[in-house]
Amino acid sequence: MIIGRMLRKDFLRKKLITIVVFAFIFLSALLVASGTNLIVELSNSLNALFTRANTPHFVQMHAGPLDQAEIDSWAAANDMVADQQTVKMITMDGSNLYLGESQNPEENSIMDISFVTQNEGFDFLLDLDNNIIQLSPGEIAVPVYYSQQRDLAIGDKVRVNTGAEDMVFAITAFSRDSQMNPAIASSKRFLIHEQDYANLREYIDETEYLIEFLLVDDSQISTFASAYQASDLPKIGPAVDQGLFRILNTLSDGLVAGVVILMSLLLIVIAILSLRFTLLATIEEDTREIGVMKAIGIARSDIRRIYLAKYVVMGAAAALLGYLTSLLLNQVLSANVLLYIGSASKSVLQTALPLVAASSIFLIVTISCVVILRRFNRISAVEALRSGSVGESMRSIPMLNLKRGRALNINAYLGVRDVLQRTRLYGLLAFVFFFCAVIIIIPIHFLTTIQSPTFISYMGTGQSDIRIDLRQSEDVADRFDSTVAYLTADPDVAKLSPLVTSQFTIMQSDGTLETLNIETGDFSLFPLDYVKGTVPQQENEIALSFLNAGEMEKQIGDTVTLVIEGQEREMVVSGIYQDITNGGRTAKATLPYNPQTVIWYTVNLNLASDANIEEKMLEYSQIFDPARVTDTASFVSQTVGNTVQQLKTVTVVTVVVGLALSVLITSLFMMMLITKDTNQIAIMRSLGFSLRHIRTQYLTRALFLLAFGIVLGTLFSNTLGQQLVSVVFSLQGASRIRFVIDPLQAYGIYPLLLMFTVAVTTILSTRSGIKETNIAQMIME
Amino acid sequence: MTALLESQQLCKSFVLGNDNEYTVLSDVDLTIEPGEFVSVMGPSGSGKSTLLYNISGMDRAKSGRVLFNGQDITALSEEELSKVRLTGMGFVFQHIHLLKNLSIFDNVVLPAYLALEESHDQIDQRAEALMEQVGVAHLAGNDITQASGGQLQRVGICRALINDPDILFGDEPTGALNSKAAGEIMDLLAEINKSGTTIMLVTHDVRVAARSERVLFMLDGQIVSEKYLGKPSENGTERKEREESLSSWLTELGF
Repeated sequence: MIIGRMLRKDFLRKKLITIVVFAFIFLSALLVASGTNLIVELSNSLNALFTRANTPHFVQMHAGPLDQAEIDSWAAANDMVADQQTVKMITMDGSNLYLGESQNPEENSIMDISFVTQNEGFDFLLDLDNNIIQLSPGEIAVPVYYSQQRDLAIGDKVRVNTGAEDMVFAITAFSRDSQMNPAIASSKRFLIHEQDYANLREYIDETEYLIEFLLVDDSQISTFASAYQASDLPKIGPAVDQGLFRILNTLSDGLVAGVVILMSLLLIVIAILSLRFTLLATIEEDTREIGVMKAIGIARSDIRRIYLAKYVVMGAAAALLGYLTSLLLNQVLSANVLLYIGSASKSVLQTALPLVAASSIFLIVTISCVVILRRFNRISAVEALRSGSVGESMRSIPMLNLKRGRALNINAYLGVRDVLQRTRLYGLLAFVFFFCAVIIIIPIHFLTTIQSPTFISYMGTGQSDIRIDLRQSEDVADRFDSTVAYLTADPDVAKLSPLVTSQFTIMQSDGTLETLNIETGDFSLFPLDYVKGTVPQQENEIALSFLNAGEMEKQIGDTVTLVIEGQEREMVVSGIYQDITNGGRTAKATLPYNPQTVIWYTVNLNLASDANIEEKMLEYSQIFDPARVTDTASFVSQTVGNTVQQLKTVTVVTVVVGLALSVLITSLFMMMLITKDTNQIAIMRSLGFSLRHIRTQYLTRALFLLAFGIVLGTLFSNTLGQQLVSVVFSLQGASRIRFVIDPLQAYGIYPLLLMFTVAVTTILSTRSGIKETNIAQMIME
Repeated sequence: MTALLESQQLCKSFVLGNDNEYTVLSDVDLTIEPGEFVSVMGPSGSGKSTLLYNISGMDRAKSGRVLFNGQDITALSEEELSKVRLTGMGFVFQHIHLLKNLSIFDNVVLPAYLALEESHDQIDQRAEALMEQVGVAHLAGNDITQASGGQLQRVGICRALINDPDILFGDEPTGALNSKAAGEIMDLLAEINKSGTTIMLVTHDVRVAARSERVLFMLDGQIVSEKYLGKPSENGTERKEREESLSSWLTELGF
């Protein structure tokens, strides 16, 4: 009862401060519980999806002729194989596909679209209830990706222009594809009935295959993969395994969960720092009362318990509210998971772990308070009664006498001086400003970098005006030759570089054979920025992508053994470059390629200075159809377009969060600081300092700290921040990201925005606090 | 001669927690001439400190006027009033109230650096001269923790005088000092008054009040009586008589 009254009284005394600290603890508990729930949900749902879909352990994509009997006999002879099937896919050109009401075909889509029928053995395409889809003729199941991207609904139409006639299908289901589900997977499978498939086959005969295997023991995937690569079985295309499917499916939501939990941890750090500051200020205010309590014999531990009670109750209430609110937020955060992967029945872990996570926040708060309240030990009853102060530690800095600050306005000088004298006190604010600067600047730098045309250097290719990509087809080699011939004769072309990517066999250090995609051609025309070494120039030189070099454990000067037509060929690693495309695993060399193993053809070209790029792109699109003709900017934006959109959203969010955080902490800190400084303010006002003078001092303190935070934050972002982004991106193949900086935004607009926000917040939050300082009352007390 | 400081029907009240209004000053009329040395005495709760703070502009009265050098300071804005107090008034407190994050010298010069009516060098020279005069020049570079109570009160007086104010207010300036230090402070204040600075003190100490030329007695928020003692002599020989005269007067008033 007494504690209840005490808590209520204390809350009414410092409403805003209590609310702000409560809010931080609440948010931290909310985010950690939600993040934890998302991780558990993701894991459970994915397991359920993979089980239901019976996802293959190993898949070899292949474009070209195929001997199924050869595959059957190899599989039968291999003990590791439990089951095998070959999925035939009709490759659909986007320019022939119309979705829903749209009159525009999918020709500009970056997705590789195929039409398939439902498998019989495994690798099932599931509907949104995770049931195996069964269709009737005229029906189609569209990948769930399109329900979002094209706003499609059940009953909408899908039209295929076969050239001879239009085939129209009705969407009766949206499919979950355990292999190609997520947006970052660039291939999508549309499911149709066998009869429709046979009809479509009559018009479109471009076929790709998925040679799929279920293994007896899924721990043998890598052994099996090596065995397959060493065999003579078809392998014109990338090989993927279940591990990669899991990564692709969890990457986006996993990243969200990671960011959410990281935010939670940062918020709890800020909450603890705020709590520390609040508690210390409260102890400072109540020193005399504490001295009285000690003097009349109340034990230290009992006094401590009284103060602890408030924050334990607040921490418990905030953590509990955070957990309960997370039950609502979970719906929002899990929306993507529920759509793309589906849900699994709730496990005990899924219920318990978020609660444990939220409880850990409460525990952290309580332990922090116990540690902070050890300060009571230092309060002597006599000293407290006499001076009413615990005696704040202040750095004595003789060189900061008033004489030194003559060049400045006296109030500005007093403001700066106070920060330098009480650095420990201002630690919280400095840390928050630094943090706000970092979370604003890094995403801005990253966004500028990824939108810059120079970003192409992280995609394994040099910068050119136009890029032409020829897709795999029966006559692609002829089309490539004619394309090169045409461009060579085109007077508008200043220079061109034909490049061919084909599969080679590489012998690893342990003697196992694997495939390696190697791009061949002249790389000197459109140079690439190498992380180490240089472009391969001799026929025995090879450059490796960063991820390949890491996996093969190769450095400059090391050798790589290729097996070409049964003969071993040593290649010297001349350079290592960055490439985030194609899983980050590519290579470059100048040796001749095998036309039988070509995967794709590319032509990079620069136009003459008087040529119009738009007109030439249109010309080439028509002449080289169905080749994909793009300029560098489009190529980059199509490849990383989704990432750019997400990054823009993230940037907006971090700017808002940074500004909101700076407002909250500045107002909390300034209000507490004024309470702490009441005596000093009263003395200055008694001397003739006006409210404006005092406000200038506090404004100077805030802006001085902010400037410090921004400078430090900028330095951090440009150095360690850049390295951090490189580390994250190195997982995709770009190990050395160099920020492209827009100084106007990064050093002008956003810092000014932050300064304006902090200045306004400081003025508003100090206004009433200073004004209410009744000099006479304070002096007389 | 125009009065330096004048209050006209000054009223001040406080509202207590249960919304009851408690009157502290009730229609106080007071005039202080330039060069006067006035003390205000009375029992606890009589309103003497409240009068001091309201008449010096540190607190806002409920009603009434205060004229300082003919200007109605109750009608001034907060900014204007601060400027008047900064340059025209000095204040000495019982608990001195120096800023703990400044050295002793910086505490003295701070009001002058804010007003900046002279150059910094001139201010510094004046501060050094003042501190020399009161005997604390050797403490200039020290922290405020490195001086005795009496020394700190002298510093407080220097601070109050740095802008050459027209009037010096004191709220129990010797209240926290031992008798020797108190005596020294009063000698100093007498000297300051002799040089022309008007002084108004609040005190409960007869020995302090006896050093002034006029004593006001307050009771229940009003000035109920006044005694004129006249200017003290140069050598202070009649100090004891002044104290006895004052004590008798106070006894008659029932204090």
